[in-house]
Amino acid sequence: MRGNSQPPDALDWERECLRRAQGGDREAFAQLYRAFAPRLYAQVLMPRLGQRQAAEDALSETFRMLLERSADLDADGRSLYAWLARVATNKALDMHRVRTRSARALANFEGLIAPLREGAESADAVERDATRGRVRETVDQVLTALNPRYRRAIELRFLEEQPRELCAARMEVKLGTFDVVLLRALRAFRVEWESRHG
Amino acid sequence: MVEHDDEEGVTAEEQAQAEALARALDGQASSPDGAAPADALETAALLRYAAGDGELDEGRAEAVLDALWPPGAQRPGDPSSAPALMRARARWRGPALAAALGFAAAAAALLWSRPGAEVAAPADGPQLQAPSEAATLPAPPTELLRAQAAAARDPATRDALDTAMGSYREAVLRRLAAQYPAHVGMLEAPAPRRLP
Repeated sequence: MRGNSQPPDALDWERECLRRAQGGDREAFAQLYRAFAPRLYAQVLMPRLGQRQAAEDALSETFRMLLERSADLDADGRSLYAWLARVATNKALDMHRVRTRSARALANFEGLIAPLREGAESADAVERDATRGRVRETVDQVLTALNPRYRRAIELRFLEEQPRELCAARMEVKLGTFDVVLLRALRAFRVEWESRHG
Repeated sequence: MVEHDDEEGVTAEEQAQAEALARALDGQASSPDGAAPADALETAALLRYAAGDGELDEGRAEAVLDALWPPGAQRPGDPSSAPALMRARARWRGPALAAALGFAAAAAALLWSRPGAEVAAPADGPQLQAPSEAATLPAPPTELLRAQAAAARDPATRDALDTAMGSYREAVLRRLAAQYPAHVGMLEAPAPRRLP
């Protein structure tokens, strides 16, 4: 596992991969990508963009930047992850700036999950999984505290991933009514979440 | 259909927000009437994250990698790779062509507008006549474009650019001299070198 404070052998491994990638070794680049991409996606991009396609685009742009700038990176004793996370954060911000033009429904929920993190955003896979585990646990707790119909609307739409027409049918309401119930359910969920982790 | 307390008191604004949210959650572009309410959209994204969207799908991850650096391809962004070289050439082709055309235009203007040039021609000498065809200037050579690209990156290589530009300038002058031989002497320029 490679975090921000890395043992020397891990940093050596990163530098060696980077050096080989600069020399045209695709497999070395792929190793770096596979080591860091899932963490960047889960810890930096999805919480700031809230949309799979946008997060994948930003991930691609982040590693494209690595390909273009790898020769300029300083060996300052820090993991490459810190540099990648900074680039990814900037890419996410850029996407929000052009959100109106791109018509993408981006959502930054980083502020909602930040209280559940232990320490800074980490490259460590254990900490990443622990954060997601705490998010899921808190979601369950908050859902339990909601009005049962609100809870049902959220479960159908987001946990069971049903289309809204089916959700409306399952709840025996008109489509427009389901839309309103879901909106109210989400707002009630947020109030409850922030009362616990605001 | 059964009415519930939580469905009462719906305003037109709330209904519009609910519809905008539904469209956004289905991945549709926001309507001109308004975007989805940010608070609900963020909460929905959090729920999707918890439900599995927070994990990068392995197949999608590999697809992103393959798009970034296709298997078997040279390193993208490598200045020596063919696509990068072509992009660099394309970047400099326009300015180089513009410079060449400007240089040619200046040379032609000098040739044709030199005061008294035609008057000064000896009566028994060859009369100046416009050539039947305009000169075709040589295209800037690859070495010049490379030298320009290198000088843009590293000013210390400007000497190489000067050398390459000097060679190209001579080639243009030779071409002009070959096409407009009667004007070369009037310009009192050095006699054009013999074309190789």
